[in-house]
Amino acid sequence: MRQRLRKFSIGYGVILFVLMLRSLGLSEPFEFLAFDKFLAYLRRLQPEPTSSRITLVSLDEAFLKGLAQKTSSPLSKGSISEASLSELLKRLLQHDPAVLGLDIASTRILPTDERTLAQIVNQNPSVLTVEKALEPKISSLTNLSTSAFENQVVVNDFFVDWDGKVRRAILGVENGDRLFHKSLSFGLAEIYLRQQHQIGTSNGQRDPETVKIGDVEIPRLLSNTGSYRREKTIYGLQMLMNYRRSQEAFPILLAGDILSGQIQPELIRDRILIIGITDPSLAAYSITPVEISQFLEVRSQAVGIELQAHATSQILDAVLDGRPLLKSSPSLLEYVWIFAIGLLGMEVGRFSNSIARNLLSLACLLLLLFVLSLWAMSVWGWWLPIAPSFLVLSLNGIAYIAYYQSERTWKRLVEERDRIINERDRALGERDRALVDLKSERRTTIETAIHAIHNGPLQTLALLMRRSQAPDLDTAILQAELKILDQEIRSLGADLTQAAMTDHISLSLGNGQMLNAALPLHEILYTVFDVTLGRDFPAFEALQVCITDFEPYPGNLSPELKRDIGYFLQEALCNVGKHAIDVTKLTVVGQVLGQNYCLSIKDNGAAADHLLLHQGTGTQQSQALAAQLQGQFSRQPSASSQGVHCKLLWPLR
Amino acid sequence: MSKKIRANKILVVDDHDLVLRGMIALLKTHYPDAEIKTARTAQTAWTVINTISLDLVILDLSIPDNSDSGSRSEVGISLLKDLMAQSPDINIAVISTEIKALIRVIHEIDHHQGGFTASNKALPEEEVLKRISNALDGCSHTKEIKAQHRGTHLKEPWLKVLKLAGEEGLQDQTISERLCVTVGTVRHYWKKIYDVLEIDPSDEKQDGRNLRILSQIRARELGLIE
Repeated sequence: MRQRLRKFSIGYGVILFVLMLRSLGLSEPFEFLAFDKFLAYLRRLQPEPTSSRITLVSLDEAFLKGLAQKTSSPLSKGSISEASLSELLKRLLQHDPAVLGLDIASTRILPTDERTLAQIVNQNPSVLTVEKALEPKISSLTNLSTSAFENQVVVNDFFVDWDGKVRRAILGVENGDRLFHKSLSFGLAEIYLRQQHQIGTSNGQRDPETVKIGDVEIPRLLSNTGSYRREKTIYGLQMLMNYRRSQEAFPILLAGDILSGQIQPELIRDRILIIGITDPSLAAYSITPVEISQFLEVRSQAVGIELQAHATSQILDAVLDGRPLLKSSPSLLEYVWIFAIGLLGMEVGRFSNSIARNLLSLACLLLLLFVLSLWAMSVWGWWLPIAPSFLVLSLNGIAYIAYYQSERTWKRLVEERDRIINERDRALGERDRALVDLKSERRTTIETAIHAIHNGPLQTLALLMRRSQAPDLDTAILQAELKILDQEIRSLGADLTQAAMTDHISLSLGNGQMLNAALPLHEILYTVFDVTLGRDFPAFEALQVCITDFEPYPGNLSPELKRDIGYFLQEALCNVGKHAIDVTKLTVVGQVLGQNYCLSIKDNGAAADHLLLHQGTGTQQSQALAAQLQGQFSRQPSASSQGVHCKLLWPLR
Repeated sequence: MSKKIRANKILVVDDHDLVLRGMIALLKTHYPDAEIKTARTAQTAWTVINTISLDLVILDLSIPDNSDSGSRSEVGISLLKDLMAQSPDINIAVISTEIKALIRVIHEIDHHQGGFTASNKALPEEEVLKRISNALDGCSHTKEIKAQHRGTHLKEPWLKVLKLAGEEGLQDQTISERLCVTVGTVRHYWKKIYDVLEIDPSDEKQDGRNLRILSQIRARELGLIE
């Protein structure tokens, strides 16, 4: 668990970091960028036709110039005479427009004494004029009737985001008088819908703070909507601008054409007319996130009436056509969304073992997220936290692809290291075993040498010593014996060398021959018996009967044990040959007795008593062998007659 | 060698062509009707042994296992051991320069029911022929395998047979009952007794002697029985 926490701490850290960035509003530039891009994509993907409900009436450069020349009195630059405007409105009203919005600040209008403009407004409730409610404030026309002042003066302000772009429209604000002042766009839409479609306005149901037109509740811009964290200007009732997606969003009528009688009545009748200055040198313009302008050369800027028309249009389309209004999800859901995408990013590294494939997966996920966000905006108007989710997905994706990759590399390195350590251990083990083998081999060699010396030259030497004690010493015989001893010692060297050179265990027969100890036991015993008895021992001179029988051993013995048993027989026979006197009968039998194998050597010669007590090398070896075989060794006077009975008995295995 | 025993099928195993040819010539002279097979390796020897029911196998110990390997007495001894285990009644005559190597398998030779003679290649032709003939007769001749020891070397049951016959005058049937073995085994023991006492059954019979009585006399001389 702890390891898991450590492993994922980076991922959670990244998520927290992004959430913190967002809550501090530091991600706002990226979110605006993404938002603007998405609007541009949708504009390209889902183009809309020119509006059939709104017509713009443009007071363009040519018209304003002509107006300035006609007027005798010197006009301040950019001012329009009240008379001309009144004439324009009268001409337009003749063709029964649904609503008429005069989006010209009162300061731009050069008043005449007749106050004709105020009269027109007072007489036509469907003519709206504007005031500027935000600083610097500009009040409305003067001389309006109370009813006109209350119902026909609307606000034409737009809030500009910190980067200078207009992304939201005002539905209404509370001005200094604490009254709710509707915006021009909302006012136009409200009157149009009421007159043309009998659709009324009420307070919102889900959000009582907002307005509901028909069945459509306008999603109110909240101070934490989308990425609006840094803006201090989120007050009143505002909505996000979903600009109409067409090159020629609205049909345009030129004021000059209308006054000169060139009128297209179908563009006026039952439509919303928005009148304003479009002369680039005079008009106030704003920067827009998408290129919408139909009047300015820089199309990503827009004059006032364009912004008003787009804002009005999106309300109408939402109510009448179901066109989605832009909205963002509740703050908490946005955080959950970012968190989930961050978790997803942490899993990408586990998709596959290949770093390239994982990067491809990450790219696919990013694309999927993009398409999903675009689709959500297009179909439902959802403004998802695009930039933060992209950020967490990429960061976590790359971090964990790298993490899992390094983990795999690490694992491989650890495995490699373990393999090397194991190999080294095995090599060391082999060396140790080889050392043990070498030691045991050395011991075996020494044992073999001792056996060979003991059962070979030493026996002959003992014989010689006995012979030399005899009173009638024959030097010729002595010399012959010495020659034999010389030969034995010489052949011993050759035997031992040969034994050391061969792989298998062998025993020295004492006549210069080696016998492979891997042979069956009875074969070894027969051979040892035959060779040993053939040696020149004085005790065998009187031998009359020799009974020999070695039964095959019905079990398994190691070559070492078989060799030692062979040496045991050799030594026992040598003892008889050396120490016994006047042996006439010798019985050497190896047989299975019940669960034991018994090897017995019995002679009937007279032997010196001290022999039985003698604990020489031979006896020690015999006892050691018996212990190894878990059997018994005995050497005692023969029970039936005189002589010695030497016996090795061990359990079969 | 006036008396000739007709042998039907003889296998000669020897790796030397010259020896082989000489042996075949010798056998052809003395056993004109015999069907003689030859084998130069242990493998070919086995093929013959496994296909034909043989009366006698004349074996050299130093032979190769197959045509690719060298000659070793180990191979011959191994062949002999397996042959005795497989066919306990077959007659075998080993003619080799290394008959002392047979001491290893003396146990199996002593228990072999069929004839078994061992002769040194250096022996005169007459003697070799006699041994072959003895082997065909089912006799045993193994004296030279053992080192030239003093005294008589024999197994306990053989000594018992001699004692029961020589000291108590018992017949084979009774001896077999006493020893709890078959009469055939007692006869086999006698065969081995003749071998140790150096009685050549064919020679002695020819001279009109009773082998059992002869053995008792010889045993008494050697101090085996009273």
